[in-house]
Amino acid sequence: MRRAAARRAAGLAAGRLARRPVVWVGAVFLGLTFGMGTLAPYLGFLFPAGTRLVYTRASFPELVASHALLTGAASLIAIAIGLAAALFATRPTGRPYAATLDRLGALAQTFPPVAVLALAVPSLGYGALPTAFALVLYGVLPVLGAGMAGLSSVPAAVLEAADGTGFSPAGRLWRIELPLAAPILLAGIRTSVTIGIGTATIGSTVGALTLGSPIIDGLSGDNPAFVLQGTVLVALFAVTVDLAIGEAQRALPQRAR
Amino acid sequence: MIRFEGVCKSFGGARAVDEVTLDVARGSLCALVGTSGSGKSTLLRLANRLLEADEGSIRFDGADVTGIPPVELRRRMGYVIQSVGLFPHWTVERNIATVPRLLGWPSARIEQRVAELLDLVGLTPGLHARRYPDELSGGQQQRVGVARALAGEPELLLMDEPFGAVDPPTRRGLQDSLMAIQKRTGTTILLVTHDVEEAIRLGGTLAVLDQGRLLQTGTPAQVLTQPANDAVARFFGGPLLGLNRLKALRVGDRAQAGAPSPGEGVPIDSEATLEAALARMVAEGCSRLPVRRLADGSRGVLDLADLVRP
Repeated sequence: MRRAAARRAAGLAAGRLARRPVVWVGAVFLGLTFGMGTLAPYLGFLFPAGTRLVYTRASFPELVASHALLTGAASLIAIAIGLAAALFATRPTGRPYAATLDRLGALAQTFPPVAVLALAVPSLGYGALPTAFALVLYGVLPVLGAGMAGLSSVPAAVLEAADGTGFSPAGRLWRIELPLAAPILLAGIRTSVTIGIGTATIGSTVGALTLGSPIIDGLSGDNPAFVLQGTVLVALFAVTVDLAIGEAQRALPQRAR
Repeated sequence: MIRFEGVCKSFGGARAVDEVTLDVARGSLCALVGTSGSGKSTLLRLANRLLEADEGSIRFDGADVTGIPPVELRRRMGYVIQSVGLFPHWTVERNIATVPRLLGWPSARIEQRVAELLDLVGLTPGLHARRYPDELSGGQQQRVGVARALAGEPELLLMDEPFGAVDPPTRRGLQDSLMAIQKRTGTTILLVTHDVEEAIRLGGTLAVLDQGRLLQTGTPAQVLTQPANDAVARFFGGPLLGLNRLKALRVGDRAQAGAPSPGEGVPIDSEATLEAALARMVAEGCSRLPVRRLADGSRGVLDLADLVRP
């Protein structure tokens, strides 16, 4: 009896887990990453006869890993820079520069990514490096903007009380300001990372190995199958990460939201 | 406990605090009163070094505050502000535990202290401890604010218009609680208010400020019977000063010895304010009240004429 109840409870928990979009979208993403090679030969009916169906320059797990590494590294750098700049802009010494920083960040985002790549190649060479540079440039603004908005959303009374009760500046930042800024900050990180995953595909025009590689190769080689395969995986990747960060936002302490 | 000596503070050329010398004795309550812009909040924030004095010295328990690191100084002083500033992401108990945690108390002692304080400020541990600030009324939030300020067993409690944002009945309840707390804990309190009634009601010492200058210090009765100058008189009601004086004086200050004649109704307590006595005379249509001193049970009478006696 009790065992049956436990099994039912476990089943319910599993059911609840499976109902979360991040779980099943993530499962589809992983499934297609590893199964695309097997699935591709059966997709011939979708494309003009004679289309090559199996992408051979790299395996899809390889492409996903390379794509993830590139966007992951670039996002971490962008988050670090954006957060550091937001912290600086909301401290007494940096407050005069807040508007300038905000504008600089906005300016960085007005450059078209392809132009950034073209300009970066002469100094950084071909491959992942110019792509990472462009991604960092693009990723900083959402984090900077959200960081500044989040940190300045902490009520003045709360800050005064924190100072008055004897928090050190670092203690105040860590225990009061960052937890209260977290929801807005995390929203900015979500935007930054999701944009980064999409934008990274363009890196394949300068030789970075990403999920953009089959897309670019497909476009130049007139092969819609490669374009579709790359596009579907990039989209699933971006949606999975977006949903995962969404879960993290929901997991924040209730009142900080 | 805290002594200001020749303290000056300017903001952009304007003197906010001008040569203030004020001594707050250990265990006493001192109310800094004055209109907005009189420098009272500035003076308070100089005490815990949220602001630094330009001139003069501030001594806390004998030591110059500039020799104590601000963070340490503030943990030794409670601080309560009008907008409360509870940490919204923390429960009531976590908010109250702020300073003990910063001081690194063992958790059993913190737990006990939080329960003690909830009780002291009139909240129920079982009912309120786990709530978040936004689930409390304004009055309850300020009670938590006071508890948080007292948690680290501070030697001095600084309060900046602590009850300015709550409705009058709640304010009176909080004032009563504060007086009871002070009686129980003996904490020295330096409080800022622009509310004349609050200043008189809390008793203690009044320090009247105007344009950064300290105009007069004294008990409410002293200040209201002998205001040092026009500015003080104006602050305490101008033409209505006399009515506020009735709030500052007690029945015992004016009652005369002697047995009341029979049939004069319920005696009034000698600790009641003259305002309360006048209110009863008006309500009962009489000009004499029997008086009873609670301390020794002795009796007396209060005549309407006693109220206006200089």
